[in-house]
Amino acid sequence: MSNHSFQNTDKINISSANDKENEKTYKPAALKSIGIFLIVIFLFDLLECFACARLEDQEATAYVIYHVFLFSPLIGCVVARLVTREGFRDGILWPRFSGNVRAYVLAIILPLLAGLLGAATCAMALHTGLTIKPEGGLRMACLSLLLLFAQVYYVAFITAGEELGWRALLYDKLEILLGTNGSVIIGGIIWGVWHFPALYYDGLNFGKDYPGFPIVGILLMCISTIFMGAALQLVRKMSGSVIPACIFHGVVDSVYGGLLSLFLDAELVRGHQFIIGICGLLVPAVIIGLPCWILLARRGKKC
Amino acid sequence: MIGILRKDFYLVRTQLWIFLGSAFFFTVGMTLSIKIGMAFPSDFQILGDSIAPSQNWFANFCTALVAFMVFLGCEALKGNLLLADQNRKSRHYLMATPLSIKGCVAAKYYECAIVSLFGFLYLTIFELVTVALTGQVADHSLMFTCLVFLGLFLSALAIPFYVLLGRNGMHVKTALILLLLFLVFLYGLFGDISPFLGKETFADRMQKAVLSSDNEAILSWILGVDYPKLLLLTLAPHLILLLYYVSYRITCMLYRRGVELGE
Repeated sequence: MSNHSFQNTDKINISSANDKENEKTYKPAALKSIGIFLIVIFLFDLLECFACARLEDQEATAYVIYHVFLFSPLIGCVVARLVTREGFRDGILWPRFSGNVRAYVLAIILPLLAGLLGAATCAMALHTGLTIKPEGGLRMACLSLLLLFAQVYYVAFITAGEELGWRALLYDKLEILLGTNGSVIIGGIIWGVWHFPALYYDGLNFGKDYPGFPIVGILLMCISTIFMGAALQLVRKMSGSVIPACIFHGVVDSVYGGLLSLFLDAELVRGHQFIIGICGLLVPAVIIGLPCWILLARRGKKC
Repeated sequence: MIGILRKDFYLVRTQLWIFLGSAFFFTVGMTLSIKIGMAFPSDFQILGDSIAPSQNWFANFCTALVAFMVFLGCEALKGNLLLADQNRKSRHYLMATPLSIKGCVAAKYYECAIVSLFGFLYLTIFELVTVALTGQVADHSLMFTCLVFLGLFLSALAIPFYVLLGRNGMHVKTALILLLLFLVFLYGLFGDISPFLGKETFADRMQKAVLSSDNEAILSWILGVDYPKLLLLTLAPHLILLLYYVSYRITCMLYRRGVELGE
């Protein structure tokens, strides 16, 4: 008995020694990766700010810089992985369909649910009632939704530029340093702040006409990216691949807005962008993201 | 699986280098021609008022041409990748690996998808270069997406034949394309072509779609068709992916027989 317990304590000692050894090895590497990644993406942020501020009359150059800006997290991820010689050996780009169908189904259903929730909340806040607004009725509404769904592949390709940075690098590295909850919070804040040029110059999601512009907008964006990031990280962790996260983001960007425009009149939207931003983006992000965060934290504890 | 992909791309490395090299020279050549073309005043009124003078038809035409060339190049590269094992009669050995038949077949399907995606990426970059050069914003993403899905559709049809018949599978692919063209010809002779004969002829619409080939022109062309066809068009990408999966399952069944026939 005493021998058995001795063996157990020995094993524990060895595993804790290994953990400490791993921490010593992985934490500085993770820190280095994050540092390089942040430098790259915020350099592109500065470039985008410059393009928005100075190149207003040069639409084409601003267009090109905007597209490069969209892919800046991907560029940051590639640079960080090259510099730290990590490469893509973790197979995060691999789709891993078998055994992970649930993650792919969630990647489609969750943003749709969020879109419907957003439309319902907006309708309640603006007292409009949840009815279909386009003239063609239900048939045209279904058709326009199908058209939006056909675009998901292209939008997912574009959003892969973001997801390959956030989910394939930043969140994983932050998890090594700060644990699951810390990675969701800090990762969400970085992701939200990264949107600064779009928020400040284009009035993304919240418009420009609200009290406390642009600080309040950035804060609200950070809250929504924290919760949305939790949902995205959940599907990424469930599948071990970044592809479901790209699909999730693609559905959010293409169908989400379409659902809002399906239930809300264009006239109503005008002048109420801040309310629509809060009800259509923030509220559903919290409602969908919170359970995902809890699930993600549980998975983190199990691991 | 990654090992098989690496092996196949290594086996076609010569074609890959040729493809990349020609893509680079093609990009330089095309962007130079666009730049030179921009120097001349554009008074090309091919469709009357339908193309605004500000739109550069030559840049659009070049982009459409590049897209078509890249599509052809990708299809040729896919053919080489699919025949990479068969030319070396190494499929028996592959079947003996822990990956088994499913893994070997899945690798082929992944390779075709990767080539299509890289074609798309190249076209996106080419468009950004063109926009930077011409100074006019153009968005051809819809055309590029259509070409990617067309490539996947052709691959879904061709891969089972490649696996079963080897090099002869190429003839089947050609025969399929010819049959498709023949059916279109027959439809033109005896079918209902009234939707194409409006104020604008079909040729006019196609010309407009190519010369002002931004998303809106193609979208307006798509929305011009009647409801069932529109439904089919919107569902087409999902149906093509489903067909791709069904084709994979069929190829898994045919693989062993193909190996026995070929070797």
